[in-house]
Amino acid sequence: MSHMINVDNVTKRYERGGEVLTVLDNLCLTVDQGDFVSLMGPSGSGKTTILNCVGGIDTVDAGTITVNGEDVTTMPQRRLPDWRAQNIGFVFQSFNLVPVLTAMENVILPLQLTPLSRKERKAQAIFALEIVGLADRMGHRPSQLSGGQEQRVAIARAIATDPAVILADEPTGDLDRENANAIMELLQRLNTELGKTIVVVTHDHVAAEMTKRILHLDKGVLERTEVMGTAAAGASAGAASGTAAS
Amino acid sequence: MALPINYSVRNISVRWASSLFTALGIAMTVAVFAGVISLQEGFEQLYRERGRPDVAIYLRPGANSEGESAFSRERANILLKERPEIAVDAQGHPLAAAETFLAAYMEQVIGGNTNVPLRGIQPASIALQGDALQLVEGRWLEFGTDEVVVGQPVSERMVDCALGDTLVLNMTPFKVVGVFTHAGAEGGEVWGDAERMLEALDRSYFQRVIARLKPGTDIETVAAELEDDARVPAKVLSEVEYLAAQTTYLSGVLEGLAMILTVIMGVAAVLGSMNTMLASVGARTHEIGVLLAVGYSRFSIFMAFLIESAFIGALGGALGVLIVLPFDGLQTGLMNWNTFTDVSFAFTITPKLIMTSFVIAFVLGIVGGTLPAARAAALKPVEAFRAA
Amino acid sequence: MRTPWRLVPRHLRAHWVRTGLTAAAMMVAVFLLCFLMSIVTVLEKAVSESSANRVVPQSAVSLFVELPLDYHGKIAAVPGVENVAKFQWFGGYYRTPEDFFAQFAVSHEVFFDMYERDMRLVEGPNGPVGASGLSADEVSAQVIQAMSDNRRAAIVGQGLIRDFEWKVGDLIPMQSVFVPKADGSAWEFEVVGVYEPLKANFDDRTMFFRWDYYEETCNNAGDMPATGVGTYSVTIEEGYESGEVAARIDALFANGPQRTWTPTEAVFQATFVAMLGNVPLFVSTIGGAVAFAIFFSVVNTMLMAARQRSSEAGILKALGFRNGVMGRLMLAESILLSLVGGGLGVSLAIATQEPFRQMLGAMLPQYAVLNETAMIALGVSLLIGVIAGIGPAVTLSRLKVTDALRSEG
Ligand SMILES: Nc1ncnc2c1ncn2[C@@H]1O[C@H](COP(=O)(O)OP(=O)(O)OP(=O)(O)O)[C@@H](O)[C@H]1O
Ligand SMILES: [Mg+2]
Repeated sequence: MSHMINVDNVTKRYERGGEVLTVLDNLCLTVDQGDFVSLMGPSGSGKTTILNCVGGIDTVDAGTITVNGEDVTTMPQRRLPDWRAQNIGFVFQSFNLVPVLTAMENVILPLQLTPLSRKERKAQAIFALEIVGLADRMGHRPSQLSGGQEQRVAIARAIATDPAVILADEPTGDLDRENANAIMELLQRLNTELGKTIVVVTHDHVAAEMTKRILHLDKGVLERTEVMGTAAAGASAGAASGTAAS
Repeated sequence: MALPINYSVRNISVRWASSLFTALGIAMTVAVFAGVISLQEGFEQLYRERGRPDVAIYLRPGANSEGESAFSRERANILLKERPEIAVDAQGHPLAAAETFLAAYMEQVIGGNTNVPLRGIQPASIALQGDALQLVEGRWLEFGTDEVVVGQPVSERMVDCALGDTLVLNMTPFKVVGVFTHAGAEGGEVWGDAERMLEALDRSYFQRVIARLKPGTDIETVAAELEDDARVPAKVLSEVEYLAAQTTYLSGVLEGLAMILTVIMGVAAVLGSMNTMLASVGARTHEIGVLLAVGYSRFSIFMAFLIESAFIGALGGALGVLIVLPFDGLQTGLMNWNTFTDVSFAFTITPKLIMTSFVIAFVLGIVGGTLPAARAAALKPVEAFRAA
Repeated sequence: MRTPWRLVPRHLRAHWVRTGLTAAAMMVAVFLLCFLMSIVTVLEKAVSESSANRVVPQSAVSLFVELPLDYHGKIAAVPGVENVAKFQWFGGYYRTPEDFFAQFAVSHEVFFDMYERDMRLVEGPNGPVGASGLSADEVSAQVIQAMSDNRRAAIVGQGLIRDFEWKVGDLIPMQSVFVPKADGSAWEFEVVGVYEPLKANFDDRTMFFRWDYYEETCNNAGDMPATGVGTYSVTIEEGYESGEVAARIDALFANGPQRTWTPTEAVFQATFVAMLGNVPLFVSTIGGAVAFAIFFSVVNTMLMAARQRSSEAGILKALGFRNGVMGRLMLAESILLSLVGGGLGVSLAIATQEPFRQMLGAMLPQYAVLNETAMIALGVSLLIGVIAGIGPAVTLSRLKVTDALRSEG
C-alpha cells in the first residue's frame, strides 16, 4: 500500500538581504496510512515549515509532496483550499480558535465547507466534541475555556470533517504535563480507534514517545528515525532516505 | 517622574495610519470651519472698517438698507439744501448727494442672471467717496448724459459692461465710459447720473442721501431731531453704523453655519480620536503595567496619552489649515441678503483664523484623548500584566 | 464560496466600544449630511414642483421694479391667458422685524382658482375641515366668501398659525417698511382662513391678503400711493403653450414703458434660487468634507479591526476556506457598520426635522428630510462602507497563511 504522505527531495529556501537560507534541504520522508509520527528537532530546523508544506499552506522550491495520492506541490492554488478542507485537519500551538465563536461554532466552521445539511453539521460537531470529551462545553467561548480545553476543541475541529490526515504543530507547547499528556492520549486514541494518520511536531520527549515513530529533523534534513516500542530504536539518516526512496 | 514626550510621539508613529486618519477627521472639521469663516471674513472686509464717522447716511424711517428706503425728490432736496449739519465745499455747495439704488438683473459672462446694484449719483457722490474710489480706465461720466461707469468686477463678470460697451437699462442705452475700483462693496456697482437713471427706469424716488458732516457734529442729535420731523422724517446713521448693518443676514447665517458644522463635525471627530486613543491604550496595556511597576506615576501616564492625542489634534489642525490655505484670495460671489445684490469678494484667511482653527483642532484632540488617558492611568499593574 | 457570515456581527459586538464610537461618529456626520442635502433638495424641489402652467410677467429690469397697474387689462387680453392676478410683496413685519415671514397682496377674486392645486384651505370662519361635519369644499367656499366680504381679510399658512399662535378671526397688526402708513400706524389684517401647502413651491408661512385693500390703503393713508404691481401671475388657457403666451406678453411691452420678462413659475423659482448665491455648490463642498470625515473614521476602525484579524484569517484559510473569505468578512463588517451608523444618522435627521424646520424658520420654511435624501444618505454610507472595507479586505485576502499564523492576534 502506498504512503499516505510522501515527501520527496523537498527544498525550501528563504532569501534574506541577499543571503540564502535553506530551511528544507532535499528532505525526504514518508508517513504511512494510519501512522502516528512525531517530528522533533531544534528550533529553526524546519518542522513547522514541512508541516505547512504538507498541509498545502506553504509552498516548496523544489521536490514533490504527495498526500493521499495527490501531488500537493503541483496542485493549482485555486484548488488547494478545497483539497485542504477535505483532507487535512490542522491543530496549532496557539491562536487556534476563533475567539468570537463558541466551541461548537468553532467546530462547525470547517463543516460549513462540506455539503452537509445544517442538522448534519451540528450532529457531526457534537460527535467530534464528544470524542474530545467537551460536549458539555459547546456553548463556551475560547476565553471561557482552559488552555487544554481549547486545544481539545481545536482537535475536535480538526477531526470534524473526517480528514485523512491530522497535522498538529506543537499542540502541547503551551500546556502543563498533565494537560499535554491528555492531548497526546487523545491523539493516540484518534489514531488507534479512528485510524487517523497523524503528524505531531513537538519539543517534548515524553509526548513524542507516545507516538509510533519519531522523525528527527536538523537543518532541514531528516537526521534519523526512531521507531517506538521496538528494540532497534534508531536508524541512520541513510536508512531514512532509503525508506523515502522506496 | 514624567514620561518623555518622545514616548507619545513614538506611539503616534507606530500607529501612524490610525493617527493619520484620526487627524484627517479633525482636519476636515477644521477645514470646514475655516472655509466658512474665511468666506464670512472676506465678505465682512468689504464693509467693516470702511465706514467714516463723519459721513452720514439718510434713509426712510424703518429702512435698514437702500432697497427699503425712498425719498421723494422734494424731500431729498430739503435734506440736501437745508440741513445745517452738512459740510460745504470751497464754493459753498453742500457736500451731499441724493442717490438712487436698484438691484437690477444683469447677465453674467458665465451665464445666468444675477442682481447688480445700479446707483444713480450726483456730482458730490464721487468726491464723497474720497480715496477709496479710483478710476482705473476711461473717464468719469458726464452728468446729464446717458453714461455709466462700472466697478471693475462688474466690468469683468457682467455682459455689456466692458469699457465702450452699451448697457441697456429698460429702454435706454447707456454708454460705459469708465471703470473704477472701490475697496468696499461699492466696487461692485454700476453708477450713472441719478436723473438719467430715474428717467430711464421710470422711477421717481431717491433711495438715500449721503453727506459729509461738519466737524464736531453729533450724529445722535441729528438722528433724534429727524426721526419725527414733520417735513422729512428720516433715519440718520453714520456710515460706520450703516455699513455694519449691511452684513447682518449673510454674516449671521455664515457664522451660525460655521458653528453648527463645527460642533457636529467636532463631535464626530472627538468620537474618532477617542476610538484611536482607546486602541492605543489597549495595545499598550502590558507596557503600561511595566511603566507603573517601575515607578512612573499615574499622572505621567495620563499626560503621556493626553499629549499623544493633543499631537494628533495639532496634526489635524495643520492638515486642516493646509486644506483651506489654497482658497485664500480666491474670488467668489455671494448674494448679500441685506441689499439683495451680488457682491464679489475673496476667501480671506487671517492669522487669527489660522490660530482659531489650531485651537479648535487641539481642543478636539484633547477632548477625545481625556477618557482613554484616564483609563490608561487607572489601570492596575496586575491587570495590565495579565493582558496579552 | 462559503463564508461564515456569523463572524461579522460577532466581531462588531466583541469590540462594542469601537463599534459604538464609530457608529456614533457616523450617526452625527450622516445626520449633518442629511441636513445639508435636505437644504438643497428642498430648494430644488421648489423649482421642480412649480407649475409650468403659470407664467410670471415682471419687470425685465429688476425684481424691485414694479409694472404699471394698467398692464393687468392688457395681459388679460392676450390670447391664451386664462386668469391674471396681481402680486405685491408687502414687506411687513409682525411685532418685530426678526419675526420675518412673507406677505403678498393678491387679486383675491382669481387667486383661489389659480392656486387650487398648490394649497388646500383647511380652516375657515366656521372651523376646521371635519369639525361639526364641515367638508373640505364647504370650508373652501366659506373662506372664499369671507375673503370677498371682508376688505381686511387674509389667509395664512399653518406654520404661521403654529408659530404665532394665531386663530381664525384674529386681528393682526403689521408694520410695513415698503409701504408704511403716513401716520405711522399699523396695517390691520383679519385671519379668515388657514391653508396647507400641497407642493414644495408653496410654503406654510405666508400671508395672502386682498389687493384692493392694499391699493386703497396706500393711496388714502399711505406714505406713497400704490404705483404698480410687483409681479403678475398668469395661468395659461388649455391648448396654449406657455412659452408662446409668455413671448406674446413680452412682445406687447417691448416698447415700454416697462419692458417685461415672463418666465414660467419654475424658471422664476430657479432664478431666485440661483440668486441666493451658489448654495448647491457651497453645500456640496461642505457635504464632501463631511463625507470624507465619515470615511476617515470608518477606515480607521477597519484598519484597527484588520490588525486584529490576521491570525483568524490564517485559521480560516488553514481550515480550507478560500483566500477571499476574510476579505468578504471585512467588507461585510465595514458595510454593516456603515449602514448601522448611516441608518442612525438618517433616523436622527428625520426625527429632528421639526425642530430644525423651526430653527431655519423663514429662511427655509419647507425644510424636510425627503425620502430620496434619506436614500442618498444611506447610499453614501454604503459606498463609504465598501471603500473603507476594501483596503483591509484585500490586505487580509493576500496574506499568506503562514505569515498570518505567525503574527499576533
Ligand atoms: N517567512 C520567512 N522568512 C524568512 N525566514 C523564515 C520564514 N519563515 C520561516 N523562516 C525560517 O525558516 C526556518 C525554519 O522555520 P520553522 O518555523 O520551520 O522552524 P521550526 O523547526 O518550526 O522551529 P520552532 O521549533 O522554533 O518552531 C527558521 O530559521 C525561520 O527563521
Ligand atoms: Mg515551529
